[in-house]
Amino acid sequence: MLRLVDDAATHCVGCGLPVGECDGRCTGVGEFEAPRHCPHCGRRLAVQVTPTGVTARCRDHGPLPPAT
Amino acid sequence: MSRALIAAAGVALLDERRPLKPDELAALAAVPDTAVPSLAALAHEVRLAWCGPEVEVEGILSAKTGGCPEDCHFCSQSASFPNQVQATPFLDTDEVLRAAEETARLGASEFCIVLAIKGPDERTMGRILELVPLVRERVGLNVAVSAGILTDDQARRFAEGGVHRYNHNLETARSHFPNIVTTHSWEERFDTCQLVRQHGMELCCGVLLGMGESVEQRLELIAELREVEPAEVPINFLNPRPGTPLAEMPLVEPLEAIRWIALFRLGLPSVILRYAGGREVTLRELQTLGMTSGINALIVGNYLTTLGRSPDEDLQMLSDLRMPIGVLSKVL
Repeated sequence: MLRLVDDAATHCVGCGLPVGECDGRCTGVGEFEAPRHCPHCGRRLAVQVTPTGVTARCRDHGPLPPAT
Repeated sequence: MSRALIAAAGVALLDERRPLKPDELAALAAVPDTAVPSLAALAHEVRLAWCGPEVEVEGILSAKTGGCPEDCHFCSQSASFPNQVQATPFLDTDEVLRAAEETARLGASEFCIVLAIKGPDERTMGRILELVPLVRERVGLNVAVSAGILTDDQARRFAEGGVHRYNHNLETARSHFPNIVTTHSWEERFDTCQLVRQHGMELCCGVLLGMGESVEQRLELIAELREVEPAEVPINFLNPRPGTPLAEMPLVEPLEAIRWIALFRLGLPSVILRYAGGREVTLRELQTLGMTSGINALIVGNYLTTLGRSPDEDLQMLSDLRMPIGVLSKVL
């Protein structure tokens, strides 16, 4: 599983809006949602969901780190 | 009244071993909420009598994601909507094999390779036909494919290439389909379903409930499924996707979902009825009840673009219910 939000996140991984503009209730965030936007720039991520995992990569910021 | 209706359906399906007539199924669809557990209990008994105790486990993989030219109003992979799913190309062979291996480790017998396309072009046909024997031989799983609308020749080549089951969903009733998809017709889907069976593949033909269809249209859909005679019917519940025309639709209520799982089993007693997308958000704590309402197969792990609950939870659920994992084929 990916770490969706870290201390450096500036954008919502669900809708891509800057943190503060997203009210945290956008439909792109939830227990069963894959991240769709880069937490650092809000750009759409290239996401691959597999039966037991998910990987996501931002064109500018590279892959999202796995959860620790 | 409900008790008598359910008892009569039990006599038909279990003693006379005959399918229910449309009016009998329509009467069951109208039983009050308080009778839904009884309806579900009958559906479970019918499933055991017609299909046996085994549960089939499957993993699915979106091998080519997003950028789809079709406008299915429920789908985040359509290029027609301001969706959040970034299009990605066909996965490498190694990536597909790794996903198949993940699936096999979960105890699954079936692995479905899914592509977000209208239908396969020649290059895509070649890639799929290369992957199918590799997955089967190296990983030991039956391979299913979902690659959209097929020509007669493509269906033949998939069958000859070892595709065990081909997925092509009707999704919804013919009368509701134009409200959901405008870039192809219900009849095109129906025709592909026919081709799949004609060429000897098992047909996996799913539904998606919660797209604004009426009770009558759900019953219509069951009747239409009877016509295409699928081996398997995956039941999906709409999980509204941001940016799609159905983004604001409400979820199917949990007890209503149980009612319709039971009705699909009672209407299609011999099929493999599979838990599929949307079950986590729709059924929540009632997922176990669904397993005793007519379901006898499930997708474990993640879906195409959304996540499922932990496979361990599903496998524990099957263990707790003493439901053995097995390989199923249509009984009739």
